[in-house]
Order: sequence, then structure tokens, then C-alpha cells
Amino acid sequence: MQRFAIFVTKSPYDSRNAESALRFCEAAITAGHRIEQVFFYQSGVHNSSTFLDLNTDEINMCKRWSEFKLANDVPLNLCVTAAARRGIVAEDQKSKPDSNLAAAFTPVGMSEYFSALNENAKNEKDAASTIKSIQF
Amino acid sequence: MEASKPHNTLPKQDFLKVKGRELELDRHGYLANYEDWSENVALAFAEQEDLALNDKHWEVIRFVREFYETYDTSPAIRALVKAMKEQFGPEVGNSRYLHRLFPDGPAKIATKLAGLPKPAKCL
Amino acid sequence: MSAYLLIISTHAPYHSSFAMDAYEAALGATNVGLEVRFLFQGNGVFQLLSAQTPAGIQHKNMAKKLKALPLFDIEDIYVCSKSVALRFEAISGQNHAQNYTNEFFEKISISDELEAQIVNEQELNILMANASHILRF
Repeated sequence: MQRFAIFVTKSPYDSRNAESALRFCEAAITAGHRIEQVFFYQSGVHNSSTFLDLNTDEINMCKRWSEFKLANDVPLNLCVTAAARRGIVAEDQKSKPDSNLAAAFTPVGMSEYFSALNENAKNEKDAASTIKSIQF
Repeated sequence: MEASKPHNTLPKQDFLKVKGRELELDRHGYLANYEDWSENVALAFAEQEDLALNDKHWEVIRFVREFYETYDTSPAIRALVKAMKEQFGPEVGNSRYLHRLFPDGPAKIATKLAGLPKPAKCL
Repeated sequence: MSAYLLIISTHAPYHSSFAMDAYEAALGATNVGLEVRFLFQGNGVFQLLSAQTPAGIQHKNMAKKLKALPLFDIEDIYVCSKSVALRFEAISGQNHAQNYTNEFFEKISISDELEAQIVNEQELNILMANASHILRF
């Protein structure tokens, strides 16, 4: 079994990047591997927007990720600063009463991704516990 | 005819009153324009924060302004501590000393008083 | 060999957010005590030029920001020599890559404050092969 951490950097629709990331996650889990977390950075934060509005024969990545989380209980974290800069806001900020951040996603600091990798670095000798970071 | 929903507007602008002037603030309550800063701005923010400024506070405030001019970055706590340690030694360049001066967070409050933007949350 | 994260910064400053995103990811990673090494490659080498005057377009100066890397314990900074040589050949229309590499580094005023190691292709391969993780921006 391999442990993975997934780093998504592109917005949905514009590129197939996030779709590939999700398919990778699903395939990895089916093959018996583990996805520790998916982290959204740069334009990747757009994956979390409940404002995504696509026809039923198109792919709504926010919905797909939310379903993925429900089925597999994988944390979906996004960089809170990257999100704020791109208009993705959680509703707990009083100056921003409305939220377009889907409930499946958690706004966190950058370090959330790296602390997992760091823990990994300390256990490098134990190959089974090593987390592989994959950037999409 | 249905009453139409108002158009979305930009967030309301807040101001800091300093000596009869109204200075623009950002949405976090930090000074919007770095050039608007004067010692009176620091005093006005200090009053909001219930802080009585002494020489030690002023030393930090001047230091973070210099930091900003050198690195074009509002210092987060780690960088602030390390830079102050290099300049003033470990007595001043340590996080406990800075927390005693600015109990609500040295980087957060010192940058505010110094008229800088709020440091990025995750750094 | 200690474990490290290699951040590869491949975009010129100002045209996009990539240079800043690479920089901030690096700072974020040091926050949890992860060792970070930083590599400038491709157009990323333009971030090191000293003659940056972005105030006119209301942007922060990338060269100034980079000087703060050591304050975040990022001390291992690398510059791909081939990326530099190619760009200066193209700009100058001349093909003495090594001379232009030198000329380029003379223009990096931050080099006294920011110690960057110039690496060739082979050293670069080793740097990447030994990294525990790589993020490329």
C-alpha cells in the first residue's frame, strides 16, 4: 500500500487537471492505496466553489469532489489565502456573510499540507509509511 | 413590478480619523495606504487596541516599517523574530519579549500600528 | 542525506502569480520545520534580476521579497545555469553563453545578500533525485 498526498493547482473547466487528480485518487483507492489528503492551491481553489454551474452532461468538479469525500472520507483542504484572493470565502468571516465554499472543503493554512509531508520525512526509513506528494 | 434585488456592492469603506483627516482602511481594519502613515496613525491604532506605547513598542514599530521597505513583505512572526534577533540580539529578538509588548500577536498588531498590510494568514 | 522539499520556480515575476505562489508555498513549508530548497529555472531566473521596478504597475518587488528567504530558514538556493545562459543568448543575440551568464550574475544585486548556487544539468539532476518531494510552479 502506498500513501499519497495530492496537490491540485488548476481550476476546473479551464483544464483537465483536477479531473485527472480525482481519477487518480479513485484509481489509487480502488487499487488498495490510501489518499491522505487533497490540497487545493493556486487556481485549484476554484474546485470548491458552490457557484459552479454546469449542465448535467458536463462535469461539475465541486460536486464530484464532494461526492468523493463522502464516499472515501479523504480530507479536502484548501489554502485559505489562495482562496480569499480568488473570491472563495467561508461564511464565518463577518464581513463576508455569504459563502461559496462547499461544505466538503476545509480552509486551512499552507502548512497543513506540509506537516503531513514532514511527518513523513522523519519516518523515511519505514518505506510503507512514506507519503508520496503528487502535483496536478 | 417586483422590487428588484439591489446590485452587489463592494464592501463598505472604513476610515481611521487622525487629526481631522480620514484615512482609508482595508477590510481587516489595517491602513489601506502605507504612505498615509504617521506616528499619529500608530497612536490612533494603539488606542483601539488599548495599548499604551512606550519606547520598546516604537522600536518594534519602526523596525517592521524598515522590514517592509527592505523586503516588500509584511513580516510574519517567525521572520520578525529572526530579523530582530540579527539586529538587536536575543534579548529583543525573541517571541516572548514581543508577545509581552503586543499580547494580541506581535506580527499582527505591530504591522497594523506601523501602517502595513496584515501579514498573510498562513505564513 | 537529510529529507527536503524542493520548490522549483519557473515563471518570471509579475506576468502571473506563479512566482509569488512558489515563494509563499516555500515559506509555508518552513513553518512546520520542513527543510526547503529553492531552485530558479526557466523564466524563473528573471526573478533574480536587480533592476526590477514594479511600483509603476503596483506590484511588490520580487527581488526584495527573495532577500527574506534566509529569514525563513531557506538557505539552499539554486539557479539553473543553462536557463540563464539560454536567456541571455537570446536577448543579446550572441552565443558566448558563459560570458552572458557572468554578466547576468553581475546584475543580480541580491547575490551578496542571497547566496545562490549556480548549478549545471548534472547537479540539477542530483538535486531533484535526492528531494523527498518536489513542487513546481
